[in-house]
Amino acid sequence: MSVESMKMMNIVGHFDDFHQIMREFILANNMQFIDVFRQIDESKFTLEMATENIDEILEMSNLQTYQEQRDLKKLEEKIMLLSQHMDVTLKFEKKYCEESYDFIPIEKKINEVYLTFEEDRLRIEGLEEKLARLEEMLCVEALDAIGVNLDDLYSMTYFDIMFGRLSQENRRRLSMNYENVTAAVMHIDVPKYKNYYLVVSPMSLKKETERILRSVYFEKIPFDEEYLAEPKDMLNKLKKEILKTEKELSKTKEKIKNLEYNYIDDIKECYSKLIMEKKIESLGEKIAVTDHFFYCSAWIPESKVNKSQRLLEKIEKNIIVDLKESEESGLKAPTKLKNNWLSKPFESLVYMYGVPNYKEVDPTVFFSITYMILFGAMFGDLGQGLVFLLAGFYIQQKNKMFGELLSRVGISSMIFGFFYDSFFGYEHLISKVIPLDIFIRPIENINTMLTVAVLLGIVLLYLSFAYSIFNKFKDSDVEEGVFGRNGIVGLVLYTALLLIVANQFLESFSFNQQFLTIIVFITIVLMLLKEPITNKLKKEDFLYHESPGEYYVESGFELIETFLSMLSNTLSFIRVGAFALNHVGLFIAFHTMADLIGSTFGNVSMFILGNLLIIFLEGLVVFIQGLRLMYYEIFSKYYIGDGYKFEPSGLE
Amino acid sequence: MKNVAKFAALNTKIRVLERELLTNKDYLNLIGLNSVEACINYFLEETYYSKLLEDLKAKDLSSVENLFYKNLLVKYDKITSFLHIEYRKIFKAIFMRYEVEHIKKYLRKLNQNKTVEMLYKNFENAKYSDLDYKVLSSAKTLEAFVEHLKGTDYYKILYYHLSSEDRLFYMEMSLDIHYFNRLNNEMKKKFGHQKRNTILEILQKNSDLLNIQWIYRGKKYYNFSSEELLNYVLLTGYYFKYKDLKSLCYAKTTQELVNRLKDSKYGFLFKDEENFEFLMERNVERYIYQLFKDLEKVSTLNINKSIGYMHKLEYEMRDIFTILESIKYGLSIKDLKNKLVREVKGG
Repeated sequence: MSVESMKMMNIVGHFDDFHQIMREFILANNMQFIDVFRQIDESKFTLEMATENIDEILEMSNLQTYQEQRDLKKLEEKIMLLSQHMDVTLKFEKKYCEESYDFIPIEKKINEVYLTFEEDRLRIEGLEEKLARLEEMLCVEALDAIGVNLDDLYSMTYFDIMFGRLSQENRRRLSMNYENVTAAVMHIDVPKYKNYYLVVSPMSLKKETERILRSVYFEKIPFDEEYLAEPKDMLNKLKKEILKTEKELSKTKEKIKNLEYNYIDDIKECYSKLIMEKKIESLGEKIAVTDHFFYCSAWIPESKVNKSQRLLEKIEKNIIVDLKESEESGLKAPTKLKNNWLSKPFESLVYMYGVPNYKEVDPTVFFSITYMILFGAMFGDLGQGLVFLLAGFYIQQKNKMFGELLSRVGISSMIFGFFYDSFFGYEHLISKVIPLDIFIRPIENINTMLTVAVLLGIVLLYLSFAYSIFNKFKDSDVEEGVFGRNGIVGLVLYTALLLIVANQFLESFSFNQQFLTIIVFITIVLMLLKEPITNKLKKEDFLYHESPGEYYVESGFELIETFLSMLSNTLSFIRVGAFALNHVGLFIAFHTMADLIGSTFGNVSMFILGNLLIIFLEGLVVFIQGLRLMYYEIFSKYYIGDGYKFEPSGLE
Repeated sequence: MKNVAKFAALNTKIRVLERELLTNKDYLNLIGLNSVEACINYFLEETYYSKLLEDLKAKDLSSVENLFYKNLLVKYDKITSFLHIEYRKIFKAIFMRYEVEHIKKYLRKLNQNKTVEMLYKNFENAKYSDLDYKVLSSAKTLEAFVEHLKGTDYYKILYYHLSSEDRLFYMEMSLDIHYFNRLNNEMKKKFGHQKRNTILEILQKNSDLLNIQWIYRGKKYYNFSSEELLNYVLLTGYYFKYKDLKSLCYAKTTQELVNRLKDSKYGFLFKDEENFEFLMERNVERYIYQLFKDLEKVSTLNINKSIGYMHKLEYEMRDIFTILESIKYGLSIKDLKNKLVREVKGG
């Protein structure tokens, strides 16, 4: 319902307890650590002058940031590599970190497991490499047609033989200058081996040939001597060897897999603890340490203070905890919103505009109710609302916030749809089932719809005036709260203007016109003079912040803008009625098209198409229009939203 | 009309950027200064580079150079946001050149077993490049470096030469060829159907000039076989086609080669009998710079202006480096002027 109140907690403890305390805090996930040095620099980190605190105070002259000595990155790399090989995805699990532990044995264990794997891993790498080589050599098949023993060919004394690949383009290049190449280049014209060549060059020109071939990117495929034989025999030999290697490979992989069962729990445990260590390390820069003590500060919601204190007491009695009100800390407190289940999902829409600052009233409840009403009124349909509701339930599994949002506006749409007597665009269907006289069909009551929309707008604007005035007074801003356009004077002016309009258009309504005119006049003067009057009241020794000329030109224009925005803010709500009509109008269009087609198929297809289009397109438009009304017409009146979120330092 | 939509905003942006380039007067003033620091002060006080050099910490050459290189990438990012999508590929290909330069720098260091940890340490990944400099800089050996490039076009090229002797030379050579072929392909795809395209012509003339330099040096200093020379030439020349290049590669002596080139369209490179070799690189650059400057006169609503600008910026950077280095080592004004890509008039 509101912004939760925050406390600043300053903690000094023995360094021996540091690890355990941090671990517990991180698991509890309800404190937001801030840079303790900033608190100390601003002399907000104070310790009570008492004999038992003497060591802690003395050592404060010798503060350093906390730095982790271990190289956690290397350990993490090792663990990641292991998890890759064992094909498991690691997740942080709380249960491993609940007891206090020493990290050094963990580190040892990681290294130990890694070493066990390392040997097999290298073996696998070697085998895979060998396999690749063997498979490359399979292209000897291409030489089958020559029918020569390769052993003889490759052991010639005066000629050098090379076998390899050449790309089409480079082959052209070579052939263009073929008369000057110092070798015979034979194209192996076997379909499967199109780009393979056999190069024969005199041994004495071997170097030149190699250089020329290199300049056309000839990819030489060397044959291992042990396999050289007739191509057919070679092929058999190679295939046999490949089978053998593959067997060995799968055996080694199997071995690793088996190891997995022995070590999986260890690795999971190590991983969770490693993540915890990393988190503590990352918080380290905000924490100050000396030889014997550590000092830290954190924001904590008031409701969690007791829990944290109990936690600290459990660990060690001798810890100094200093609790401060948020104002005393000299820092802007973070905002943690506390809302009921109905309004909670709407927080995200509020955040889209801005996070409420710590001192502001949380607008979420007002926002959620208003938004649901506006959405339902614009998009009222029992059937389609149900679609939103179901879609919302489905999406909740993937995107919790959006799903919940969708189901809530869906319900609102269903309620309005019921009273609009509209089910998937068919009017008069619900009223047939429930023959009561409680329905209001928008298209038959156009004027009522539009008028009610504007009236709704006026109510909402009054509520936002109330919010605005409340916020301004809470912030003790007299100038805006009393004399501002969204303050009391603004409220009076708006009321007077509404009454004048009512006088003009409603015959049954008559209010003293002269009195109203005088009130309007007075409020205008007050708004024009708001700064000098405020300063006079506050007994400041100046009247204006700038030169009076500038001030009056500025506030003159502001006044014009005030009138314009009062008019446009009010009329803006007509769109709520208009969209309700528009919704029906679109259906009428689709019904007409269905009638034109005439057949049952046409009817059904138009029904589906029309509903899909309306759900997606109009649903989106109404969603945005609702936001627009909330942001521009209402939020701009009173909501500042320059706070920042409370983000506890935990592992989520 | 279509071209207005594509180029109006871009060309306006280019015009603004071109105004930031140094003028002839700036060059005259810079040449006259007598210390690197004075030059930097001049940049800070009198030119648009003041913004760039503002956060220069050490006033030494290499930090200045780094900032200028960075400037190039910043300008690239600026231009690409105005660029019509179909031209982005071309710009990406043009900028592959810097990617190639960076890879070469890595290769050279690693080949000498030097550490590359600090190389491009704070290099933000620019839009033009998909390379992950952080990963690349973590390589300890050349082999590991090549392995890090897996998945890019460069991997295959570098991997091929990994075990050959003189691998550095062949790697660099293949990278350059890869770059030029890629650029040429992109340009051809875009402009090949046009009867004449000035940008494509400049690129092809550039290929000619690179071929000339390659054949000349390969013959005179490196003793490459004619076959090898021929296999590494770029086949994307303007005047020199395969047949012409073949006859150049098979020239019996260097003198014969020079004589043949003297009769070609690029005879101007060899006019100065004594100094032509010393001046060759500058003359080539000056020639191409002139081609880009000529482009301005005919440029209308097309991509030429922006490509021209990028090259002008590149040449300006080279000239600035030449000036700073020459001043550092106390070259005479006349020699300095001689080394510049542009001809500085007056003074």
